[in-house]
Parts: sequence; C-alpha cells; structure tokens
Amino acid sequence: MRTEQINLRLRHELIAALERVAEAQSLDRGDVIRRLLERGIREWDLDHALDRYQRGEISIGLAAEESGLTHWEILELARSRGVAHGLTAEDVERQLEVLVQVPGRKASTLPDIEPAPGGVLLVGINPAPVSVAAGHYYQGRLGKRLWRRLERVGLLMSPTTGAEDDAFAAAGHGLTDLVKRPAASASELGEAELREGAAELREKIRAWRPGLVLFAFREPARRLLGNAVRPGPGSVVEDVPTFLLSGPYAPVREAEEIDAELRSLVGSRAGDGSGVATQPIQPSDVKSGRIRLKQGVRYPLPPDAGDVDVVLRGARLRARWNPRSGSGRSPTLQIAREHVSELEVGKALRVSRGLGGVIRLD
Amino acid sequence: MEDDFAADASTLIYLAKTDAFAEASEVLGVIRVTSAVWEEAVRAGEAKGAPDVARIRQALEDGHVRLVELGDREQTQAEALASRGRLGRGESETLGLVARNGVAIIDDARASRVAAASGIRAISTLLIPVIGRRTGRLDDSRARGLLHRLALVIHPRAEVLLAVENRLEEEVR
Repeated sequence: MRTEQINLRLRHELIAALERVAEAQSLDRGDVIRRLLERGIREWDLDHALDRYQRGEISIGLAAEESGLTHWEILELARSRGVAHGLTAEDVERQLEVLVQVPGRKASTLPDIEPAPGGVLLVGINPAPVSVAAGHYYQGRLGKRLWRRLERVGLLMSPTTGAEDDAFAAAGHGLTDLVKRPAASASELGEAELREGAAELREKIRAWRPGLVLFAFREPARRLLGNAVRPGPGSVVEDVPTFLLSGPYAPVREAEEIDAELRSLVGSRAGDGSGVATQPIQPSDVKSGRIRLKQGVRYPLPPDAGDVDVVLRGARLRARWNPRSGSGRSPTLQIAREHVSELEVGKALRVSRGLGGVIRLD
Repeated sequence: MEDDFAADASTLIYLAKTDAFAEASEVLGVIRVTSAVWEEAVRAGEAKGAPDVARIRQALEDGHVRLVELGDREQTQAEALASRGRLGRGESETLGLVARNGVAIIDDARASRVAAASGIRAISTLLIPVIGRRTGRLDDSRARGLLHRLALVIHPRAEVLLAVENRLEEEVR
C-alpha cells in the first residue's frame, strides 16, 4: 500500500481527546487518527450517497454501490433515517397507464434504440399508435414514406418491410422521439411533456454522442434549435451536428434538394479520407499514449492542433490532435494510454471520417 | 404463461421479506432476474447474513424466478442507461433486459422515470396485486392482503398507497 506523510495542525483539546482514545484502545495516536479518519470518510460516503438519492440525483442501486453497502442494508438505512420513498402518485399513475397494456402483453410505446458511436440518431415527435402496435418505428403512412427517403439517401439498406428500424439499427444508427407517449396526432401532446421531452432528448444526445442528429420532423428540431430552424443542416446540439428533413408536405423540388444535401453529407462523410493508414503502433506509442500518423499524407483532420472526437475501434473518445506542421516530426493523436495499450503492436490503423465529422480509427 | 417480467434487487428483497414469491409468480409468471440483480440481492445479502435471503434461493428452486443473461444489445443498452440515468448495475440490467420486450418491476423512482423517458415499461412491486386482481389470478381478499404486506416493507408515500388502493377498488367493481 502506498502511503504519504501529511502534516496537520490540531487544537490542543483535540490532541488531548486523541490521547484519551489512544490510551483507552492501547493504540498510538497515529493509529487512532487513521481509524477515525477511515470511519469518518465511510460515514461521509454513506451520507453523501443517501443525500444524492434523497434529492433524486441517483438511484437506490447506485447509492448502494457508491456507499459500499448491500442493497439490503441501504434499503434498511434509508428507512431508519426516515428518507421518504421516492415514488410519487404521479409516477404510479403513469405506471398504471403502462399496466393497462400488461394483460394483453402489448407494448405501450417503442423503446429507444441507441446509435453506435458516430451513427445517426433519427428523432421523431412521438410514436404513432400504428407503429407501437407493430413494434417497429415509422409504420404509418408518413413513416413508410420516411423510410423510403432514407433508403434513397443511403442511410437504410436492404430493409425488411415492416421492420425497417431493424436494418437501420443494424447499420449502427439509433432512434428516439421527443416524447415517448404514443398519440394519433402530435397535437395531442401537452406543452409540459414536450418541454420535458426536449430536456430528455438533449441528455440522450449528450450521453450517446451520435455522429449526426437527424430530425424527421420540425417539432423536435424547433424545441432544440429554436423557431428559426429550417430544413437542411442546422446548428450543433451538445457538439453534435444536426440536420432537419423537409416536411412530408413540402414541395417535391424542395424535398429533393434537401434529400440531395443529406445524401451528399452522408456520402462525403462515409468516403472522406477512408482507408488512410497511420504508422504501425510501436511500444513507445503505447507507453506515451499516442498514435503517429504519416508525414505529408492528407488525413481527414483539421489543419490546426486541438481536441477532436475519435471513434477508436468502436469506442468514442476525445483525442488531442497535433499536426506538427513544418517540424519534420510525425503528426500525432494523443489518446489515453489504456486505450492505446489495447492495440496490437506492429499494426497500423485506418483513418476515415464518419458521419458528423467524427474521426474513425479502425 | 409468458415470462415477460423482470425484477430488480429491491423487488426480490420485498418479495422475500413478505414471503410472496408464490403469489408474485402466480400473477406474473416466471420472473426473470439478471446476474447483477442476483449478485446484489442474493450473494451480497448472504455475505452479510441478511434475513429472508434464503427465500430468494428457494424461489429459484421452486421455479418462481429464472436467471437470465443479457445479450450484447441488451448489455449495451444497460450500460447506456446506467451512465445516462445514474442507475445501479442491477437496475440498468433489468431495464436493458426488458427494453425491447417485457416489463420491469422496479421501485426506485429515478429508475422508473428513466424507463419512462426511454420508452421502457416499468412498474412498482406495489402494482402486482392490481395485475393479479385484473387478470383474475388473485381474488379480492388475496390482492388486498398482498398489497398491505408489501406496503409494510416498501413504506410508500401515503398518496402512492392511496392511488394503488383506489385502482384495486376499481378492479373489484
């Protein structure tokens, strides 16, 4: 065990108390301080975890993990300290709505499908009842039309009719909605749930970090980007680029232009710089947590040094890019050492640009 | 009966404390349990000598619960839910397991809200008697008895218990 000496100044009364405990326990002062410190920190961890649980910041399960207690112990402790059970009547009312569907074993909505790193996150307003009944996204008339559009722009390949979302997900893309409650018309959604949904959606984008957020309809885009949003590329949300498709009733010419723009984005991202090799990984690279690129080769990376998002064999990471222009040394991507250590020494990686500009290292 | 339902560690503990596994599986069918939930409720409980933990092992032997492994996709979803939702391993595995098909029995408020926001079906253990009454698998007296035993160990807010009792009343009518 590694130790370190620290000096601290204590009041005389506290030193006298420590000596009293040390004598009673037949320990030296140092041991008493260590034991009391350990106990104090354990107590603090426990109080902190329970406090966060009570404020609704973490679940009871995570509170148990963070405090080092078993599930049995934390439930008992929460009860003995008078921490109120977090479920409210509102939660139970919502659950009772779920329950309506239970005996028939039919789903009450469609679950989110998380995109793979760098994939597209397709965002709708809320699931249509016809889609929920089918157990697949976008099974209504407009939804079917949307799948055909995505097929035309190259985001959907070889789908099975009626289960297009499976092919979309298999390609590494994800699906979610602004609000998860199904309704025949978006006009049935209330302002409060739309506002809450927008906050949730932002959180999902932050957690999943897709390569592109593709809004199928204007409402979710408007909620995140403001009223001025127009079909086509939009501003970034949580550092992720966005794109709004034209509405289902837009003039054919406008829809074709927007689709062409998306097709070009998808195509350019997929093909831009694909297959450019790095230098083979060396033991010194593993030691210093870097990937060296070749001098004089054009990579899909910015001209200036800075932080870039990379997907290293499927794992999304933040890397420090240094082009070392004019220095005569190899350009480098600095990545946490534990990730570089998982790479095979002697083998090179292929650098390409994925959707949304993310750099792929495969 | 289809085994659509999956339970979190808290639910197993509550069912153990109330000795209600037989009633729960009569209502829900075989209850699925992930390895993280088993670890939290059974192994960790046994290590600390938790009372009633033996009832969970007995429930496994009696076929009221079944251990299941998560597939790759379910595991990925569970990990995302754990980090995004700030949930424990057992809670996130349970939600990941039922995300595409099924219902989670989970009593934590945060996990329940994360599930709702992700389109995953989740209900409290307190609602087992309501399902039992609705499906006719529990008569009125057994459903009420089960609810009151569960309430004694879950300690829900009064407003929650009232909402569930009202729903049970509606089912009786």
